[in-house]
Amino acid sequence: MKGYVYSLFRTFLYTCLVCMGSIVTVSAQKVNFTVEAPTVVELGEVFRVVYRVNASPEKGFEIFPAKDLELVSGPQRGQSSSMSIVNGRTTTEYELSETYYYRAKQAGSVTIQPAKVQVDGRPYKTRAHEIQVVESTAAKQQAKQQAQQQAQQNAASNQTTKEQQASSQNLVAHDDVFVRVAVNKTTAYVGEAIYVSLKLYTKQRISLNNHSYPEFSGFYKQDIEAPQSLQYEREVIQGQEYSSVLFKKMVVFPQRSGDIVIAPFEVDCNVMIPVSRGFWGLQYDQQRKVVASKPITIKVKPLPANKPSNFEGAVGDFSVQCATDAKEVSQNDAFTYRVTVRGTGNISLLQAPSISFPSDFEVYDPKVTRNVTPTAYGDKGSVTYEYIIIPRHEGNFTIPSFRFSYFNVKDKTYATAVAPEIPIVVNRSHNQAAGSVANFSNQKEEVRYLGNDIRYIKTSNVTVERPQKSLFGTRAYYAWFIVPSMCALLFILLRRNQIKQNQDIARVRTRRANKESRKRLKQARICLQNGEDAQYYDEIAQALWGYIADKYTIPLAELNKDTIIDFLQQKNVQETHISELITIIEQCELARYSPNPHIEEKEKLYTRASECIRVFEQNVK
Amino acid sequence: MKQMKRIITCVVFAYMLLAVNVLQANESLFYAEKLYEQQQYDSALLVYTQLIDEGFESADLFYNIGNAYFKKGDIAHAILFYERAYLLNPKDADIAHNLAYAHSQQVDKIDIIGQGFFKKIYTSFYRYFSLQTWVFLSVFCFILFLTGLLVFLLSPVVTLKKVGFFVGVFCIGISAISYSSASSRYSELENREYAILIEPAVSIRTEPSHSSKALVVLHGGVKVFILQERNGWYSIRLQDGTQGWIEQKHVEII
Repeated sequence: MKGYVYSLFRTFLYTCLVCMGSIVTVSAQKVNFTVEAPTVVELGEVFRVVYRVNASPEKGFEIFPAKDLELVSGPQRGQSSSMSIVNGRTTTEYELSETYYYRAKQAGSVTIQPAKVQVDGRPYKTRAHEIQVVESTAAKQQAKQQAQQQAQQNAASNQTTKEQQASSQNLVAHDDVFVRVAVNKTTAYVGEAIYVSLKLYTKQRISLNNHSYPEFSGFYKQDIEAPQSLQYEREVIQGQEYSSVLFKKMVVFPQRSGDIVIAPFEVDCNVMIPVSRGFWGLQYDQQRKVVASKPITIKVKPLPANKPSNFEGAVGDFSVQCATDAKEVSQNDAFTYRVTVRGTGNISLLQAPSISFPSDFEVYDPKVTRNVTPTAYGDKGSVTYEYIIIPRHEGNFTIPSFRFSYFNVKDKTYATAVAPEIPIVVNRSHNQAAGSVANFSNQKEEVRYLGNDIRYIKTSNVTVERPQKSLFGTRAYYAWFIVPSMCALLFILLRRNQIKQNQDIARVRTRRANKESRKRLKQARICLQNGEDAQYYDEIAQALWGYIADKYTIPLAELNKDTIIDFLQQKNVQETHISELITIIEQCELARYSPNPHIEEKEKLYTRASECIRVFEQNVK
Repeated sequence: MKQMKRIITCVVFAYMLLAVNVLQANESLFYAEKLYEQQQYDSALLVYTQLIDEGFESADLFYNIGNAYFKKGDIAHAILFYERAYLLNPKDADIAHNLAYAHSQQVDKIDIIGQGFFKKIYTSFYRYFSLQTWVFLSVFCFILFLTGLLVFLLSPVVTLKKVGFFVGVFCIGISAISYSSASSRYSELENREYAILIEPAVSIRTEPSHSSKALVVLHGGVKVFILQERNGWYSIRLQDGTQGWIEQKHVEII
């Protein structure tokens, strides 16, 4: 009312100024036609919808009221204009407004259709405005009370629910002034949005001294509406009329499971109690009073256990979108990858998603843009994460599909929103050789090989050939081992055999040595009888020589006295035997070659020789 | 007699054909060199590739191809051909240098688990001679050994026996070493167990399927060891010991 008077005064002043003849140029400014209304209201709450236009329309506003809204009062028209001169420039402002008071009849969401207005022959429209109508505990209780009252009136006797009676008594016990913290649900999941409103109801005139908002420990809270100046609205509770003051509307998100208590909301005020009607009108008695709401326990349920692996605490209803600004880029050129999460829920609490980009991409921290309005069901709007990506290498890459898991409160299940994978073709950049950027990933090598390059091709003596199968591993190769081995083996065997045969011959000779010498001695005897002396001695000597040669398989040609002595000594023959043998041979030779041999009887020499051979046979092996 | 004559004609003709082929190959090589000089690497590569298609090979040829790829900017193929050249001729300094340089230009830095000291020594030992030399040595020393054995066994003279014994023991040792070297070199040349990644960038997966988890992204030119093959996929081991699967089409065996 005060504002209205003020605006009238303004209009008056403006008219005066015009009358004074000052030149006022109304600059053609942009026409703004807006609607102003709360986003969240409680069922049964009276709220204002204000249409404003900053130009004078040809006709009035053309509005289209929603069906679910009940017009309480209005329209109230308001008009204001102002003029200011700054540095010689004159600006005028004009505003026309219409205010409607509505009450919501049904919980849910209500859309206020765009209103139309005609300015200078041109139509203008407001944008559509959506209002959420919340059924709060207070409203529920109110409905219950009414139902109960009816029931009491109808049946009056049955004790339906004692609790309800108790609560109704409680409510009445609140006297004429009480404070109420209304929530739209008392059980919720962790992260689920809870709508809270803080209101004071009074039947009396009051003046506020102080108030302290409850601490919502265990909650993340987001204000929906916090009026700058407190305004009184008419509200009917239990058939009684109250003035209500809205302190705050907010939405809170429980952060942990279990029972969380919302502490009482306390308001310190002076209540004016009318005492008597005096000359100056009603006399009031001022009485200080501290009113507090009942603490409210919210039962917070933990989220179900079967969490998807990529669940990061999102609760509500969401959809995701992914996009890149290019499908084909060249190496080392940046491009943008955008992830948008859209929906309702604890969107302000979301953290940047972890996306497994191909490891060849250099990815910078995302730029986060939030476009969120708080509503009774949580924040509504979108969050956009914008990644700047620089592909460092050529190739065909795929940014994997983005899966965003959230807990759907309505269905009480986990759901996953999926944005498809995006293929990216990275082409080789043309200035790679010149560009230092391209090589910065292997700088270390670059330093070591600074000014180095591959060596030139081979130009002289380059020969080419058809690959030849190597000898190694073939049968021919192994034959080179086996055949010589066989040959050697054969040779050795043959040679061994021959040696063996020779040895056999020697053995025969040894065995036959005695026999042969006897033959010779017999021959000598014949010679002795025939008187052939030289022959006789020769035969005896031959018998002895032959015996030794055969016995020890020594070639006859190698035999002489010295070698025989050596040899027999080696064989460990007794000295006496050796000297006997040598004496006989010497005597034989002496007899043969000396013209006048001085020797013993011929007969005796014979017996000595045969005795000597016998001794050798017996003793020498 | 008539048949004999025919066979001889055939042999001579075949030899001439081979000679003509080699002559043409030399001409191609010369032509490719000219192209390389004029920095027409694509064309030079075409000529070289044709030679390979005709069945020719040599370390120098692979080296030149590697150079052409390198100049073209295709590091992966350059590394592949340098590796092939290095395999055929590990002693050539130019090949080793260019291979190391190409590896340094490759994107991925993989910590190479060092070979053991003795393994390293053995590797450089068996690469010291060519496979043919080792084969010849092994056979020659074996025959010497047999000779020594014969002398040792059959000679009646003690000194000769001693000489035969020591020569035999020495030669069988050399022969055994040569055989094992030849065997190592042969398996290195024949069982090509290493491959080079050709695709610019490929994920190594935990299983032989596209849906499995990606372990690491590799870039062209990485050398991998092939463990096994399955349904068009290779199980590979990186030089830092990581194992995974990769599609066969992405790699080329050295």
